[in-house]
Amino acid sequence: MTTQPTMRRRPSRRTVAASALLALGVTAAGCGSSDTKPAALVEAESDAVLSGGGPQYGDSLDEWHAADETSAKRPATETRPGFDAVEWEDLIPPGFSSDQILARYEDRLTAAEPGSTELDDLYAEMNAEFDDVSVNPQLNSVDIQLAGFVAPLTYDGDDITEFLLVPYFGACIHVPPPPVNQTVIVTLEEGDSLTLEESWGAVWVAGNMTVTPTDTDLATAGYSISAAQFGVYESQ
Amino acid sequence: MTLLLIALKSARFRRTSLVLTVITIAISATLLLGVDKIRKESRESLFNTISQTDLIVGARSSPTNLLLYSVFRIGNATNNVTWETYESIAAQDEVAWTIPISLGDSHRGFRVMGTSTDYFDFYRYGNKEPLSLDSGGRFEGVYDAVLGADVAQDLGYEVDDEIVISHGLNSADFAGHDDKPFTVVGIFDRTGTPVDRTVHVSLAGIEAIHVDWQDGSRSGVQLDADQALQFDLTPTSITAFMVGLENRAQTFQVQREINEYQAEPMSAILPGSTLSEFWRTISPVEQLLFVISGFVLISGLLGMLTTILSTLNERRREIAVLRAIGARARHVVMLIVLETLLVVIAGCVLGVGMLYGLMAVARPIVARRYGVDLAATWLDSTQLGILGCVVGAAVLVSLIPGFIAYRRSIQDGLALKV
Repeated sequence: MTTQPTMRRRPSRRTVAASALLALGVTAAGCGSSDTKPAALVEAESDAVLSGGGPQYGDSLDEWHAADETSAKRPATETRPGFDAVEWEDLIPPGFSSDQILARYEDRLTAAEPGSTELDDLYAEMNAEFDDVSVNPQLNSVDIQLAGFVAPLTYDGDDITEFLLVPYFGACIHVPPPPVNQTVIVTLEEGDSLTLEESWGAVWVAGNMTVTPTDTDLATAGYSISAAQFGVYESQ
Repeated sequence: MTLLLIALKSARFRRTSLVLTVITIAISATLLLGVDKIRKESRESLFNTISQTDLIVGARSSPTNLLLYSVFRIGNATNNVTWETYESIAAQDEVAWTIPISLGDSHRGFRVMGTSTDYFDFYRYGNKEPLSLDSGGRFEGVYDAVLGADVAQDLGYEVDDEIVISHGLNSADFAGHDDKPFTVVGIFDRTGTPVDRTVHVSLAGIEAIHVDWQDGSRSGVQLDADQALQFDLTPTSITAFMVGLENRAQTFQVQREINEYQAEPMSAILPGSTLSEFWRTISPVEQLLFVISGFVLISGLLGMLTTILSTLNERRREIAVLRAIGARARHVVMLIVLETLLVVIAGCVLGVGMLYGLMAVARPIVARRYGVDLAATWLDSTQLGILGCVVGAAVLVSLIPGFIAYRRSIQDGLALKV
């Protein structure tokens, strides 16, 4: 009878160790579930930066997907009903895509002396033609959906309400910059905003496209979409 | 209610260890809340400082450096931009407006910025908000100055006061331009941005105080304020300038033009994108801080657990007596949980108190040095969530000693020998 209490006191030491471990687990789980924002943040972060899955400078959508082995060849974010899915190529007016310009210059390129300054001049001329080219008027007032990368313009707090949508990641730093017809000014719906974390990957934007020809009014020329809907571009 | 009373009275006999536990919990709560607060405030102040500016142009340097010194007044410029270059870019068709910036002098620890009156018209912060004057007007004369709200408040200045601007950035007025004092003509409304901590003067004013300064030290022939006015006060160079464009779709084209400007190497940056980039590089640190404070909380809770478990033996007789006078086994568990709850709530309250205390102390220093305003606001949903999480975790943890006490209370009789 006298030994009983001491026996009973002993096991408590093991219980202490076990309960300490349990407490650790409980606390960790408790923190993760009731505090959702940091958890989501960490997740977005590890996706974008830590795992190296984020886009690299100069990546186009296709390159980004090619680098991501698990993804399908073509973007699979579904087009919203009522919107036409367009590609960046569609924003270039007919006859001025990179391939078409190249085809037009082919004769002169082959005629030029290799290594001559004439080649450099030709190349500059081709680039100028590509850069100067106007917008595609056929897209005016069309409900379109387009995917690309974000260069933030206006913040509300730390959320983005206005941005430039461009075909390459890091267009603001990467050279050469996209020409006017490869840049879309996007204004989100009133009260809607894109978080900083969302802007680090690709996004899709859907809305009514306004096209102002570059030769009319300097202040509004180019593509813009206002009251746009948006979402994170899924590479699945 | 009786249970609460019993818990309180019982706790009084173990106050030393419990007070220490309260402090441990308080420290972890302060850390968690503090990290969250700093994260939010730095984000807010970072992204609210500049708005509607399409490009910032300065001498060639890293985009982050340019952004930090031109907008946040952190660090220094690598070089200047000549006035001719500035004028030629400002005159381009694509450019709607420009704000020149000239930095490098200070007034009692606050930076002095030379600019033009376009600053009043075109500078936007927050959600496209313009600057507004609390009192007085814009600078017009060479020796006029307009103060940010913090400068006026901290130094107790009012319109018509005279101030002396010192050369360089040290706060002691060793090298003062005391022969050419400036008159305060206006004070801005508070903006919560670095504008609050800046003394604004005209570019001509900056030139005037440097007319008789050669190669960084004062030349032999000293000129007074009126004599300096006789000189041509058109600046020869400025530190940086902000650009607003006619058409924002051309941002990249103009940026490229400036970056490839033949006469002078310059960098043009998109403030919005550079901010986003900058935040992206520093945000892992912020998350690391959060994780670390999470571990501090865990160790705090474990400390609490240890304390309760170790006092459990001392309390066997107390619990046995309680049982003998009619307390049920679940009352014993509740007693332990209640005690933990008291400890953790006291810890959280103390932690919040410590947070506000620390913020009150650190606010002016942090604001001046890092441009982050740690205003004492009410706890927001995330912070309440964090506190809820701390309390919840503590209650869960306390179930362990609660359960042990429950088991013992069934087994132990009054005859127990401790």
